[in-house]
Amino acid sequence: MKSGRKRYSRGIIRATLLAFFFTGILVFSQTKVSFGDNRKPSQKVVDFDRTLDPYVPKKKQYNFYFTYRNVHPWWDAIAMGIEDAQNQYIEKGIKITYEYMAPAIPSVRDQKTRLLAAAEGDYDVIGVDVTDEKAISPILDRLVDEGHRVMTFSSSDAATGCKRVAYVGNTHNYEDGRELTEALCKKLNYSGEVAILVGIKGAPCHEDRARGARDVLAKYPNMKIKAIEYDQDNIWIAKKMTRDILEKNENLSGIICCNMSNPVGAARAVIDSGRDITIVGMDHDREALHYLEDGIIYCLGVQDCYSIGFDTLQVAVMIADGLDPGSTYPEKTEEETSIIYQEDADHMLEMLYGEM
Amino acid sequence: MNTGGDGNDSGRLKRITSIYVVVGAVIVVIVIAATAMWTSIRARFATNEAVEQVSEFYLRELAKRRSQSVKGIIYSRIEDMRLAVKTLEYEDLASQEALRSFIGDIETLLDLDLLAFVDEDDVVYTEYSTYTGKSRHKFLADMPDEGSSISTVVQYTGRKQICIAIPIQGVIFQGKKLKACFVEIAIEDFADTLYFGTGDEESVFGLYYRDGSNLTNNDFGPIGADENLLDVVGSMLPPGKDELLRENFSQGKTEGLEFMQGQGDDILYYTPIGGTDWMMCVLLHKSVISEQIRGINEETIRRSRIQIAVTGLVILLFFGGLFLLTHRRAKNMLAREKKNSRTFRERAKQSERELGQVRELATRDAMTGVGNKLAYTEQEAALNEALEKGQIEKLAILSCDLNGLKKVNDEQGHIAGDNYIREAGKMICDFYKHSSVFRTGGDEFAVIMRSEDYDNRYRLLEEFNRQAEENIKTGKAVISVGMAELEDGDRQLSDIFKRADESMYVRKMQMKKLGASVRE
Repeated sequence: MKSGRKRYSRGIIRATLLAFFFTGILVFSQTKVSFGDNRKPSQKVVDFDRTLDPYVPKKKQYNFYFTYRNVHPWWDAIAMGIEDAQNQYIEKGIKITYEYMAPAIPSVRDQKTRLLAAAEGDYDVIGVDVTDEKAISPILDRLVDEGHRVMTFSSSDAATGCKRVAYVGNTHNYEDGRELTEALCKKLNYSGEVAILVGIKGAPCHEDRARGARDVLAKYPNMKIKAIEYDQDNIWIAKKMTRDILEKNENLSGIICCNMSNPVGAARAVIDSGRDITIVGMDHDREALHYLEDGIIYCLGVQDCYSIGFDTLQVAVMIADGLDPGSTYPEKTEEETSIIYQEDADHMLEMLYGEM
Repeated sequence: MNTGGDGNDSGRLKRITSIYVVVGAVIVVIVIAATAMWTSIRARFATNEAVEQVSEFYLRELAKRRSQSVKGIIYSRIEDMRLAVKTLEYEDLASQEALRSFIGDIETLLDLDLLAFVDEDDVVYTEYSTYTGKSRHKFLADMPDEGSSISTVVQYTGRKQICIAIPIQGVIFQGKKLKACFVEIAIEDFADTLYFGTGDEESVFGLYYRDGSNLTNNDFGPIGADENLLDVVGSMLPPGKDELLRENFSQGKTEGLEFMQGQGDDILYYTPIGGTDWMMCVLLHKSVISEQIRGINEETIRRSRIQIAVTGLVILLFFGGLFLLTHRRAKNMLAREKKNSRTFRERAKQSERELGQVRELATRDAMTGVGNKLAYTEQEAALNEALEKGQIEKLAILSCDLNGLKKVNDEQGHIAGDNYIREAGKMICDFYKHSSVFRTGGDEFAVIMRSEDYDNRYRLLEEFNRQAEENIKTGKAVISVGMAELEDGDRQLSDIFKRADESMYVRKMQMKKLGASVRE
């Protein structure tokens, strides 16, 4: 009864989500016409209708260890994809167990400790969302050398040249940063003072987006960067920093947010200030989507976290089976990011959070 | 004349009877129809009253039972978790694998979708995974020391789940205190529990938060899943009641209210579900109940109408038959009366005829066919009255005496004598064709002349006498006659007859001389 009900419920959910998805395509394709250049072609913002690849696992049981930067809703979204893939494997008779662990706040030391502890456990694959590529990549190399199968996933890959087997996640953080900033510049008519909020200092994904933003702003002489701040993936810090920036820069007209907590904190501060500031940011935080809906945030870059999680588990199984990247799976599994605007907010809230 | 009067009375009676029958039938039909209408109207009123009462009772019971069902599911899960924790206390689980196996066994045993334990670091242990769950499970931040925590969780995938958690105390796993145990139930399972459809109707049960937002993401009757119940219903309520509804919801009161939506009345009944901040709502079109009851009622009324129609028809047939029978009976009676009347008339005529015959027989001489002495007497009486009044001007009497009868009787027998008399009567009648002839005695005749024969009386007398004289020679009837006429001073017919008789004796003597056999 339990599995049957699960399957039934899942079927209904999938059918519903599929309907939402196609509606979403329609909506996105229509909005593309109105917003022109900086919109991607119609695409799946988040694909909940995933099924396992045809690959047949070699074993009937796997045990994985995943660790990521810090406890945060963004990684809870990744977990949804991992869980659904896991359930599909279980339905096929392949038992997959895993740990999915992170510290409350980003910590290189904590990640190192976790990785080294995992090395002592009986795991088929160790997966990590790299908190700091310089600090963590050597640890990963060491684990590989010790015979462990290691992969990176979700937001940040290890440093170039790291011996990890594969990466599943956002491979275009730099481009995402550029795209968001282009949208901002266009909105401001390529003139104005802006601030850049970043998450964790050293976190590849955040740094890449910030770099992309800086490069775009550099193209336009009338666009001025007035501040660059790191919020440590903390909304309260993001709000405080934004408030400080606003107080110090009376002519500020835009804020570029490079992680999930940035836009939420920035929006709260902007609302408090009562000023008209254009905010562009990342990810699908529920509060951020509401700010997008209300026009406080101009646009958001939404990553397909569900697919990142789903693919992470599939790639982990293949790595555990001893397969190396190649024809079966790529060394870097690229996942999509979509820029969404105010008119897309309702649909996203409905799709991601069941708000109708 | 009498027969014609009876016919009119009979016709009148017939018309009155017919009118009486028709009017009676119409009145009976009207009374039946009015009774049926009154019954129908009463039935409708009774139906509406029943709908009011049944609706409230029905909804209250429905809400109560469904609320208990939901509460039962929740408390069943809480008891399941307490059992799991109790069992865990007696297990010596040294590894994560052992705990996962234990969780799997409990899930199977208690038929749970997902059972999880949480340690003091908010690490969540399930059958297949271990994860840091602080951001994912918000309820962990407000976990009570005792009792339970019931919350709904909307996941990133849009899935909504009900999370029921209880605190754990005194259980250590791998050196860490376990702080909570929780189960997750897909909201669809609740929706399945609540679903109640009637054909194309949407579910009439709904679970709502106390702010009016939908818990199960299902349409609630005509209220969409994305609509706030309090907003929708509140907009249809008069001012004041809207605030009362919101207040009742926020305070978790049990109430029912009616509101207009579309073309009919809706009834919303709401009651809190204990231990949660949810409200169990039941929504029903009043017309659903009324249609059900009315359907039964209409069927009853329909049958009653058929019954009444059949009764009316039977009555009409009865009265129609009665009318026809009465009509026919009256017609028959009239015909019989006519027949009786005709028979009576015929019998009267017959009697009259018979009386005439008797009278004729009584006044006619059987042998000769002329009037007898009685007839003469009656005639004499009538003429005497006329004579007294002076109403007669022309009248003459011929007195006749048949000669030789005794001789014929004696010599030839009585039969010959009878024939002799008949011959004499015939002879007199032949001559006096227009006069009354009477046999006044055995061999005596009298003739009363008035019209034509009176006018020719002398010629006839002469011819008669001549024939009588010839008869003397031939042996035929010899008759001596004497005639007398009405004269002034005659008051009685006998006065005339006396003179005629005297004249006849004179003639008789003459006839004797001529050879006739005459008695003196």
